[in-house]
Amino acid sequence: MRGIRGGLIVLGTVGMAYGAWLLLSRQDLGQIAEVVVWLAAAVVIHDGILAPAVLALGWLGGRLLPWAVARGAVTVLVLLGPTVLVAIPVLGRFGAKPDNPTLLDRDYTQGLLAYALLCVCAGVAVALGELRSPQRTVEEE
Amino acid sequence: MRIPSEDSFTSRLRSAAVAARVGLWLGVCFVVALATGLISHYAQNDQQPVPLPTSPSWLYQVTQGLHVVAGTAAIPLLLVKLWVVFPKLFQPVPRRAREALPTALERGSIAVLVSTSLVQLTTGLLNVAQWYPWGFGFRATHYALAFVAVGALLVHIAVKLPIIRDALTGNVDDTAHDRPNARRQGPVSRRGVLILAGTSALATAFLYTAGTVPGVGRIAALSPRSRKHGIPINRTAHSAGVVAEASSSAYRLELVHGATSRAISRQDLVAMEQRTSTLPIACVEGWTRRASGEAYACAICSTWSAPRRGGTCGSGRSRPSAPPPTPCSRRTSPTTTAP
Repeated sequence: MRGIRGGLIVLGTVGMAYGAWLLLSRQDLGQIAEVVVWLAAAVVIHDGILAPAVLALGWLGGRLLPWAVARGAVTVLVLLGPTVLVAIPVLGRFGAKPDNPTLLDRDYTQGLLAYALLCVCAGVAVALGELRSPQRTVEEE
Repeated sequence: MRIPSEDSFTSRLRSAAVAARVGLWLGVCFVVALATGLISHYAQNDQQPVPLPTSPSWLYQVTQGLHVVAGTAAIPLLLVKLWVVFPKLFQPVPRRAREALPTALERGSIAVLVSTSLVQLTTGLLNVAQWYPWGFGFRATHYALAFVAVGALLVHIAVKLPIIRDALTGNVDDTAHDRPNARRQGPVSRRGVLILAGTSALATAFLYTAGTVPGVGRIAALSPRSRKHGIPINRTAHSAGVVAEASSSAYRLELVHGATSRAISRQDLVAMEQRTSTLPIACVEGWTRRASGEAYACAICSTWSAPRRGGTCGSGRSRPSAPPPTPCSRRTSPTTTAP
Protein backbone atom coordinates (compact mmCIF):
# COMPACT_ATOMS: atom_id res chain seq x y z
CA MET A 1 0.00 0.00 0.00
CA ARG A 2 2.77 2.43 1.02
CA GLY A 3 4.70 1.63 -2.13
CA ILE A 4 1.66 2.06 -4.37
CA ARG A 5 0.80 5.41 -2.79
CA GLY A 6 4.39 6.64 -3.08
CA GLY A 7 4.56 5.52 -6.70
CA LEU A 8 1.28 7.28 -7.54
CA ILE A 9 2.48 10.51 -5.91
CA VAL A 10 5.77 10.43 -7.85
CA LEU A 11 4.01 9.57 -11.14
CA GLY A 12 1.35 12.23 -10.56
CA THR A 13 3.91 14.89 -9.72
CA VAL A 14 5.93 14.04 -12.83
CA GLY A 15 2.70 14.23 -14.90
CA MET A 16 1.80 17.63 -13.46
CA ALA A 17 5.32 18.95 -14.02
CA TYR A 18 5.37 17.69 -17.63
CA GLY A 19 1.95 19.24 -18.31
CA ALA A 20 3.02 22.54 -16.76
CA TRP A 21 6.19 22.54 -18.87
CA LEU A 22 4.14 21.82 -22.02
CA LEU A 23 1.79 24.65 -21.10
CA LEU A 24 4.57 27.16 -20.46
CA SER A 25 6.84 26.22 -23.37
CA ARG A 26 4.43 25.97 -26.31
CA GLN A 27 2.60 29.31 -26.20
CA ASP A 28 3.33 33.00 -25.74
CA LEU A 29 2.94 34.83 -22.45
CA GLY A 30 -0.45 36.35 -23.28
CA GLN A 31 -1.89 32.93 -24.11
CA ILE A 32 -0.45 31.38 -20.93
CA ALA A 33 -1.94 34.22 -18.88
CA GLU A 34 -5.32 33.54 -20.46
CA VAL A 35 -5.11 29.84 -19.57
CA VAL A 36 -4.35 30.85 -15.96
CA VAL A 37 -7.36 33.20 -15.99
CA TRP A 38 -9.56 30.35 -17.25
CA LEU A 39 -8.24 28.00 -14.55
CA ALA A 40 -9.01 30.54 -11.83
CA ALA A 41 -12.36 31.52 -13.35
CA ALA A 42 -13.48 27.87 -13.51
CA VAL A 43 -13.02 27.48 -9.74
CA VAL A 44 -14.57 30.89 -8.95
CA ILE A 45 -17.62 30.20 -11.15
CA HIS A 46 -18.14 26.70 -9.73
CA ASP A 47 -17.39 27.33 -6.05
CA GLY A 48 -18.66 30.91 -5.96
CA ILE A 49 -21.77 30.81 -8.15
CA LEU A 50 -22.89 27.34 -9.21
CA ALA A 51 -22.37 25.46 -5.93
CA PRO A 52 -23.98 28.18 -3.73
CA ALA A 53 -26.91 28.34 -6.17
CA VAL A 54 -27.45 24.57 -5.85
CA LEU A 55 -27.03 24.84 -2.05
CA ALA A 56 -29.69 27.56 -1.96
CA LEU A 57 -32.02 25.43 -4.09
CA GLY A 58 -31.51 22.49 -1.75
CA TRP A 59 -32.10 24.66 1.32
CA LEU A 60 -35.29 26.16 -0.11
CA GLY A 61 -36.55 22.84 -1.44
CA GLY A 62 -35.94 21.16 1.92
CA ARG A 63 -38.08 23.78 3.67
CA LEU A 64 -40.81 24.46 1.14
CA LEU A 65 -41.46 21.15 -0.58
CA PRO A 66 -43.19 18.07 0.84
CA TRP A 67 -40.89 15.04 1.04
CA ALA A 68 -42.24 13.28 -2.07
CA VAL A 69 -42.07 16.45 -4.18
CA ALA A 70 -38.52 17.13 -2.98
CA ARG A 71 -37.58 13.64 -4.12
CA GLY A 72 -39.00 14.39 -7.57
CA ALA A 73 -37.28 17.77 -7.62
CA VAL A 74 -33.86 16.22 -6.87
CA THR A 75 -34.44 13.76 -9.70
CA VAL A 76 -35.17 16.58 -12.14
CA LEU A 77 -32.22 18.66 -10.88
CA VAL A 78 -29.61 15.89 -11.24
CA LEU A 79 -30.92 14.68 -14.62
CA LEU A 80 -31.56 18.08 -16.18
CA GLY A 81 -29.14 20.50 -14.47
CA PRO A 82 -25.85 19.24 -15.97
CA THR A 83 -27.51 18.77 -19.37
CA VAL A 84 -28.62 22.41 -19.43
CA LEU A 85 -25.02 23.49 -18.75
CA VAL A 86 -23.75 21.18 -21.50
CA ALA A 87 -26.37 22.62 -23.88
CA ILE A 88 -25.18 26.24 -23.49
CA PRO A 89 -22.75 26.19 -26.47
CA VAL A 90 -25.37 24.77 -28.85
CA LEU A 91 -28.34 26.76 -27.50
CA GLY A 92 -26.41 30.00 -28.04
CA ARG A 93 -25.10 28.78 -31.43
CA PHE A 94 -21.87 30.61 -30.59
CA GLY A 95 -19.73 28.57 -32.99
CA ALA A 96 -22.13 28.83 -35.95
CA LYS A 97 -20.61 29.87 -39.28
CA PRO A 98 -22.77 31.26 -42.06
CA ASP A 99 -21.04 29.20 -44.78
CA ASN A 100 -21.16 25.87 -42.90
CA PRO A 101 -24.63 24.28 -42.80
CA THR A 102 -23.24 21.01 -41.36
CA LEU A 103 -22.54 22.59 -37.97
CA LEU A 104 -25.23 23.22 -35.32
CA ASP A 105 -27.97 22.04 -37.68
CA ARG A 106 -30.78 21.27 -35.21
CA ASP A 107 -33.43 23.09 -33.23
CA TYR A 108 -31.69 22.82 -29.85
CA THR A 109 -34.33 24.69 -27.84
CA GLN A 110 -36.97 22.21 -28.93
CA GLY A 111 -34.64 19.29 -28.20
CA LEU A 112 -33.78 20.52 -24.73
CA LEU A 113 -37.46 21.16 -23.93
CA ALA A 114 -38.30 17.61 -25.00
CA TYR A 115 -35.56 16.24 -22.73
CA ALA A 116 -36.72 18.52 -19.89
CA LEU A 117 -40.21 17.08 -20.29
CA LEU A 118 -38.80 13.55 -19.99
CA CYS A 119 -36.91 14.58 -16.83
CA VAL A 120 -40.08 16.06 -15.32
CA CYS A 121 -41.92 12.82 -16.13
CA ALA A 122 -39.14 10.89 -14.36
CA GLY A 123 -39.40 13.28 -11.40
CA VAL A 124 -43.19 12.83 -11.21
CA ALA A 125 -42.80 9.06 -11.40
CA VAL A 126 -40.26 9.12 -8.57
CA ALA A 127 -42.50 11.40 -6.44
CA LEU A 128 -45.57 9.20 -7.08
CA GLY A 129 -43.58 6.08 -6.25
CA GLU A 130 -42.67 7.75 -2.97
CA LEU A 131 -46.32 8.55 -2.20
CA ARG A 132 -47.39 5.00 -2.86
CA SER A 133 -44.82 3.37 -0.58
CA PRO A 134 -44.91 5.41 2.63
CA GLN A 135 -43.68 2.45 4.67
CA ARG A 136 -40.31 2.58 2.87
CA THR A 137 -39.72 6.18 3.92
CA VAL A 138 -40.36 5.31 7.54
CA GLU A 139 -38.00 2.37 7.22
CA GLU A 140 -35.26 4.56 5.75
CA GLU A 141 -35.60 7.13 8.49
CA MET B 1 -23.55 36.35 5.78
CA ARG B 2 -21.71 33.82 7.94
CA ILE B 3 -19.07 31.73 6.21
CA PRO B 4 -20.13 28.09 6.61
CA SER B 5 -17.89 25.56 8.34
CA GLU B 6 -17.54 21.91 7.41
CA ASP B 7 -20.12 21.08 10.08
CA SER B 8 -22.74 23.31 8.46
CA PHE B 9 -23.30 20.50 5.94
CA THR B 10 -25.40 17.76 7.51
CA SER B 11 -26.68 15.64 4.60
CA ARG B 12 -25.65 12.00 4.81
CA LEU B 13 -25.38 12.00 1.02
CA ARG B 14 -22.14 13.97 1.33
CA SER B 15 -20.21 10.84 2.21
CA ALA B 16 -16.94 9.17 1.23
CA ALA B 17 -19.01 6.13 0.21
CA VAL B 18 -20.74 8.22 -2.48
CA ALA B 19 -17.64 10.25 -3.40
CA ALA B 20 -15.52 7.12 -3.95
CA ARG B 21 -18.08 5.53 -6.27
CA VAL B 22 -18.72 8.62 -8.38
CA GLY B 23 -14.96 9.25 -8.28
CA LEU B 24 -14.28 5.76 -9.63
CA TRP B 25 -16.54 6.36 -12.65
CA LEU B 26 -14.99 9.78 -13.13
CA GLY B 27 -11.51 8.25 -12.99
CA VAL B 28 -12.48 5.74 -15.68
CA CYS B 29 -13.77 8.61 -17.87
CA PHE B 30 -10.51 10.54 -17.37
CA VAL B 31 -8.30 7.56 -18.22
CA VAL B 32 -10.35 6.77 -21.35
CA ALA B 33 -10.26 10.44 -22.41
CA LEU B 34 -6.49 10.64 -21.81
CA ALA B 35 -5.69 7.46 -23.73
CA THR B 36 -7.91 8.29 -26.72
CA GLY B 37 -6.80 11.94 -26.65
CA LEU B 38 -3.14 10.87 -26.84
CA ILE B 39 -3.99 8.74 -29.90
CA SER B 40 -5.61 11.73 -31.61
CA HIS B 41 -2.78 14.07 -30.67
CA TYR B 42 -0.26 11.59 -32.06
CA ALA B 43 -2.31 11.07 -35.23
CA GLN B 44 -2.19 14.79 -35.95
CA ASN B 45 1.56 15.12 -35.62
CA ASP B 46 3.40 15.68 -38.89
CA GLN B 47 6.01 13.12 -37.94
CA GLN B 48 5.04 9.77 -36.49
CA PRO B 49 8.13 7.72 -35.61
CA VAL B 50 5.90 4.67 -35.16
CA PRO B 51 2.98 4.84 -37.61
CA LEU B 52 -0.49 4.29 -36.19
CA PRO B 53 -2.08 1.02 -37.26
CA THR B 54 -4.05 1.50 -40.49
CA SER B 55 -6.34 -1.42 -39.93
CA PRO B 56 -9.06 -1.80 -38.78
CA SER B 57 -10.06 1.47 -40.39
CA TRP B 58 -12.75 2.06 -37.73
CA LEU B 59 -10.17 2.20 -34.94
CA TYR B 60 -9.91 5.99 -35.01
CA GLN B 61 -13.70 6.26 -35.20
CA VAL B 62 -14.09 4.20 -32.04
CA THR B 63 -11.32 5.85 -30.04
CA GLN B 64 -12.44 9.37 -30.86
CA GLY B 65 -16.09 8.53 -30.22
CA LEU B 66 -15.02 7.23 -26.81
CA HIS B 67 -13.04 10.43 -26.20
CA VAL B 68 -16.05 12.75 -26.43
CA VAL B 69 -18.41 10.28 -24.76
CA ALA B 70 -16.06 9.96 -21.76
CA GLY B 71 -15.49 13.72 -21.61
CA THR B 72 -19.17 14.62 -21.83
CA ALA B 73 -20.25 11.92 -19.37
CA ALA B 74 -17.63 13.26 -16.94
CA ILE B 75 -19.43 16.63 -16.70
CA PRO B 76 -22.50 15.47 -14.71
CA LEU B 77 -20.25 13.10 -12.72
CA LEU B 78 -17.82 15.89 -11.82
CA LEU B 79 -20.65 18.21 -10.77
CA VAL B 80 -22.16 15.51 -8.53
CA LYS B 81 -18.71 14.63 -7.12
CA LEU B 82 -18.00 18.27 -6.31
CA TRP B 83 -21.42 18.57 -4.63
CA VAL B 84 -20.67 15.53 -2.47
CA VAL B 85 -17.25 16.80 -1.33
CA PHE B 86 -18.17 20.51 -1.17
CA PRO B 87 -17.90 20.68 2.69
CA LYS B 88 -14.15 19.90 2.35
CA LEU B 89 -13.73 23.39 0.95
CA PHE B 90 -14.46 24.73 4.45
CA GLN B 91 -12.11 22.40 6.34
CA PRO B 92 -9.94 24.34 8.78
CA VAL B 93 -6.19 24.47 8.04
CA PRO B 94 -4.07 22.98 10.87
CA ARG B 95 -2.18 25.59 12.91
CA ARG B 96 1.07 23.71 13.39
CA ALA B 97 3.54 24.01 10.53
CA ARG B 98 4.37 20.30 10.55
CA GLU B 99 0.73 19.41 9.81
CA ALA B 100 -0.04 22.51 7.82
CA LEU B 101 2.51 21.85 5.07
CA PRO B 102 1.23 18.41 3.93
CA THR B 103 -2.34 19.68 4.23
CA ALA B 104 -1.52 22.73 2.14
CA LEU B 105 0.20 20.54 -0.49
CA GLU B 106 -2.73 18.13 -0.60
CA ARG B 107 -5.30 20.89 -0.87
CA GLY B 108 -3.16 22.64 -3.47
CA SER B 109 -3.19 19.46 -5.57
CA ILE B 110 -7.00 19.28 -5.17
CA ALA B 111 -7.31 22.90 -6.34
CA VAL B 112 -5.19 22.04 -9.40
CA LEU B 113 -7.29 18.91 -10.01
CA VAL B 114 -10.61 20.76 -9.74
CA SER B 115 -9.62 23.73 -11.89
CA THR B 116 -7.88 21.73 -14.63
CA SER B 117 -10.76 19.20 -14.72
CA LEU B 118 -13.33 21.97 -15.09
CA VAL B 119 -11.29 23.69 -17.81
CA GLN B 120 -10.54 20.43 -19.68
CA LEU B 121 -14.19 19.42 -19.76
CA THR B 122 -15.38 22.93 -20.66
CA THR B 123 -12.86 23.54 -23.46
CA GLY B 124 -13.46 20.05 -24.88
CA LEU B 125 -17.22 20.62 -24.80
CA LEU B 126 -16.90 23.98 -26.53
CA ASN B 127 -14.51 22.56 -29.13
CA VAL B 128 -17.16 20.02 -30.19
CA ALA B 129 -19.54 22.94 -30.83
CA GLN B 130 -16.64 24.90 -32.44
CA TRP B 131 -16.98 27.79 -30.03
CA TYR B 132 -13.59 29.31 -29.15
CA PRO B 133 -14.06 32.24 -26.74
CA TRP B 134 -10.33 32.31 -25.88
CA GLY B 135 -7.03 33.39 -27.35
CA PHE B 136 -4.90 30.36 -26.42
CA GLY B 137 -4.36 27.42 -28.73
CA PHE B 138 -6.98 24.77 -28.00
CA ARG B 139 -4.91 21.77 -29.02
CA ALA B 140 -1.76 22.79 -27.12
CA THR B 141 -3.67 23.76 -23.99
CA HIS B 142 -5.99 20.74 -23.93
CA TYR B 143 -2.94 18.49 -24.37
CA ALA B 144 -0.87 20.15 -21.65
CA LEU B 145 -3.69 20.38 -19.10
CA ALA B 146 -4.52 16.71 -19.65
CA PHE B 147 -1.19 15.75 -18.06
CA VAL B 148 -1.69 18.23 -15.22
CA ALA B 149 -5.24 16.98 -14.52
CA VAL B 150 -4.38 13.29 -14.62
CA GLY B 151 -1.19 13.92 -12.61
CA ALA B 152 -3.20 15.72 -9.92
CA LEU B 153 -5.75 12.90 -10.06
CA LEU B 154 -3.02 10.31 -9.34
CA VAL B 155 -1.82 12.36 -6.35
CA HIS B 156 -5.42 12.65 -5.13
CA ILE B 157 -5.94 8.88 -5.44
CA ALA B 158 -2.66 8.23 -3.61
CA VAL B 159 -3.68 10.49 -0.71
CA LYS B 160 -7.19 9.02 -0.44
CA LEU B 161 -6.31 5.40 -1.23
CA PRO B 162 -7.09 3.90 2.22
CA ILE B 163 -10.48 5.66 2.33
CA ILE B 164 -11.23 4.75 -1.30
CA ARG B 165 -10.43 1.09 -0.58
CA ASP B 166 -12.64 1.02 2.52
CA ALA B 167 -15.47 2.85 0.80
CA LEU B 168 -15.46 0.71 -2.36
CA THR B 169 -15.22 -2.60 -0.54
CA GLY B 170 -17.86 -1.56 2.02
CA ASN B 171 -21.59 -0.96 1.70
CA VAL B 172 -22.78 2.27 0.12
CA ASP B 173 -24.64 3.13 3.35
CA ASP B 174 -21.57 2.68 5.57
CA THR B 175 -20.84 5.70 7.74
CA ALA B 176 -17.29 4.77 8.79
CA HIS B 177 -15.66 7.71 7.00
CA ASP B 178 -18.50 10.21 7.43
CA ARG B 179 -18.37 13.35 9.53
CA PRO B 180 -20.24 12.72 12.81
CA ASN B 181 -22.94 15.28 12.10
CA ALA B 182 -23.54 14.26 8.47
CA ARG B 183 -26.58 12.22 9.44
CA ARG B 184 -29.53 14.11 7.97
CA GLN B 185 -31.62 11.97 5.66
CA GLY B 186 -31.85 13.44 2.14
CA PRO B 187 -34.93 13.19 -0.09
CA VAL B 188 -33.14 10.44 -2.04
CA SER B 189 -31.00 7.57 -0.81
CA ARG B 190 -27.26 7.25 -1.55
CA ARG B 191 -28.07 4.55 -4.06
CA GLY B 192 -30.60 6.95 -5.58
CA VAL B 193 -27.95 9.65 -6.01
CA LEU B 194 -25.62 7.16 -7.72
CA ILE B 195 -28.38 5.99 -10.08
CA LEU B 196 -29.31 9.60 -10.91
CA ALA B 197 -25.67 10.62 -11.47
CA GLY B 198 -25.03 7.63 -13.75
CA THR B 199 -28.25 8.20 -15.72
CA SER B 200 -27.49 11.91 -16.07
CA ALA B 201 -23.97 11.12 -17.34
CA LEU B 202 -25.19 8.58 -19.91
CA ALA B 203 -28.10 10.76 -21.08
CA THR B 204 -25.96 13.88 -21.42
CA ALA B 205 -23.24 12.00 -23.30
CA PHE B 206 -25.80 10.47 -25.65
CA LEU B 207 -27.63 13.75 -26.32
CA TYR B 208 -24.43 15.68 -27.02
CA THR B 209 -22.31 13.15 -28.91
CA ALA B 210 -24.50 10.65 -30.77
CA GLY B 211 -25.57 13.03 -33.55
CA THR B 212 -23.89 11.12 -36.39
CA VAL B 213 -24.66 7.59 -35.15
CA PRO B 214 -26.95 5.85 -37.70
CA GLY B 215 -30.46 5.25 -36.40
CA VAL B 216 -30.29 7.17 -33.15
CA GLY B 217 -28.59 10.33 -34.41
CA ARG B 218 -31.92 12.06 -34.90
CA ILE B 219 -32.87 11.92 -31.21
CA ALA B 220 -29.44 13.06 -29.98
CA ALA B 221 -31.06 16.44 -29.45
CA LEU B 222 -28.00 18.46 -28.40
CA SER B 223 -25.42 17.19 -30.91
CA PRO B 224 -23.68 19.91 -32.89
CA ARG B 225 -23.55 17.49 -35.85
CA SER B 226 -26.10 15.37 -37.67
CA ARG B 227 -26.41 13.09 -40.72
CA LYS B 228 -28.63 15.56 -42.58
CA HIS B 229 -25.93 17.29 -44.60
CA GLY B 230 -23.61 14.44 -45.55
CA ILE B 231 -20.06 14.52 -44.22
CA PRO B 232 -19.66 17.13 -41.48
CA ILE B 233 -17.39 20.02 -42.42
CA ASN B 234 -15.10 21.64 -39.88
CA ARG B 235 -13.96 24.49 -42.08
CA THR B 236 -15.13 25.20 -45.59
CA ALA B 237 -12.66 25.87 -48.40
CA HIS B 238 -14.18 29.31 -48.59
CA SER B 239 -13.49 30.19 -44.96
CA ALA B 240 -10.00 28.68 -45.21
CA GLY B 241 -9.41 30.96 -48.22
CA VAL B 242 -8.18 28.13 -50.47
CA VAL B 243 -10.89 27.99 -53.16
CA ALA B 244 -8.70 29.63 -55.81
CA GLU B 245 -5.61 27.58 -54.95
CA ALA B 246 -7.42 24.27 -54.71
CA SER B 247 -9.26 24.67 -57.99
CA SER B 248 -6.23 26.10 -59.78
CA SER B 249 -4.64 24.09 -62.59
CA ALA B 250 -1.33 24.57 -60.76
CA TYR B 251 -2.54 22.40 -57.90
CA ARG B 252 -0.20 19.50 -57.20
CA LEU B 253 -0.52 16.61 -54.82
CA GLU B 254 2.99 16.20 -53.47
CA LEU B 255 3.92 12.80 -52.10
CA VAL B 256 6.98 12.62 -49.90
CA HIS B 257 8.56 9.37 -48.80
CA GLY B 258 12.01 9.67 -47.29
CA ALA B 259 14.18 11.61 -49.71
CA THR B 260 11.98 10.99 -52.77
CA SER B 261 9.04 13.13 -53.64
CA ARG B 262 6.63 13.30 -56.55
CA ALA B 263 4.18 16.01 -57.55
CA ILE B 264 0.95 14.85 -59.20
CA SER B 265 -1.52 17.10 -60.97
CA ARG B 266 -5.28 16.63 -61.04
CA GLN B 267 -5.04 15.34 -64.64
CA ASP B 268 -2.50 12.71 -63.52
CA LEU B 269 -4.86 11.63 -60.76
CA VAL B 270 -7.87 11.36 -63.05
CA ALA B 271 -5.82 9.29 -65.52
CA MET B 272 -5.10 6.67 -62.82
CA GLU B 273 -7.24 3.60 -62.26
CA GLN B 274 -10.32 4.75 -60.31
CA ARG B 275 -11.73 2.79 -57.41
CA THR B 276 -14.57 3.47 -55.07
CA SER B 277 -14.07 2.69 -51.41
CA THR B 278 -16.02 3.36 -48.29
CA LEU B 279 -14.01 4.44 -45.28
CA PRO B 280 -14.95 5.92 -41.94
CA ILE B 281 -14.16 9.61 -41.63
CA ALA B 282 -13.91 10.46 -37.96
CA CYS B 283 -12.97 13.49 -35.94
CA VAL B 284 -11.68 13.94 -32.41
CA GLU B 285 -14.69 16.20 -31.97
CA GLY B 286 -16.67 13.00 -31.92
CA TRP B 287 -18.58 12.87 -35.18
CA THR B 288 -18.07 10.11 -37.67
CA ARG B 289 -19.44 9.17 -41.10
CA ARG B 290 -18.75 6.42 -43.53
CA ALA B 291 -17.99 8.05 -46.80
CA SER B 292 -17.48 6.56 -50.21
CA GLY B 293 -15.71 8.24 -53.01
CA GLU B 294 -13.67 7.83 -56.12
CA ALA B 295 -10.37 6.92 -54.65
CA TYR B 296 -7.56 7.41 -57.09
CA ALA B 297 -5.33 7.67 -54.05
CA CYS B 298 -5.51 3.88 -53.76
CA ALA B 299 -3.57 3.56 -56.98
CA ILE B 300 -0.92 5.85 -55.59
CA CYS B 301 -0.89 3.98 -52.31
CA SER B 302 -0.24 0.68 -54.00
CA THR B 303 2.65 2.02 -56.05
CA TRP B 304 4.12 3.84 -53.11
CA SER B 305 3.23 1.21 -50.52
CA ALA B 306 2.07 3.98 -48.29
CA PRO B 307 -0.44 2.93 -45.66
CA ARG B 308 -4.13 3.00 -46.45
CA ARG B 309 -6.18 4.35 -43.65
CA GLY B 310 -9.49 5.84 -42.70
CA GLY B 311 -9.58 9.58 -42.85
CA THR B 312 -8.85 11.56 -39.74
CA CYS B 313 -9.59 15.17 -39.36
CA GLY B 314 -6.65 17.42 -39.82
CA SER B 315 -4.10 14.70 -40.40
CA GLY B 316 -2.80 13.61 -43.71
CA ARG B 317 0.13 11.69 -45.00
CA SER B 318 0.37 13.50 -48.28
CA ARG B 319 1.55 17.08 -48.43
CA PRO B 320 -0.28 18.93 -51.17
CA SER B 321 1.57 22.04 -52.31
CA ALA B 322 -1.73 23.83 -51.88
CA PRO B 323 -4.19 22.51 -49.32
CA PRO B 324 -7.21 20.89 -50.98
CA PRO B 325 -10.63 21.74 -49.59
CA THR B 326 -10.70 18.80 -47.20
CA PRO B 327 -14.04 18.30 -45.50
CA CYS B 328 -12.34 18.12 -42.15
CA SER B 329 -9.51 20.52 -41.69
CA ARG B 330 -9.07 21.06 -38.06
CA ARG B 331 -9.02 24.44 -36.47
CA THR B 332 -6.51 24.58 -33.64
CA SER B 333 -6.93 28.14 -32.54
CA PRO B 334 -8.78 31.17 -33.79
CA THR B 335 -5.50 32.94 -34.54
CA THR B 336 -4.55 30.35 -37.15
CA THR B 337 -7.81 30.65 -39.05
CA ALA B 338 -7.67 32.29 -42.41
CA PRO B 339 -10.28 35.03 -42.81
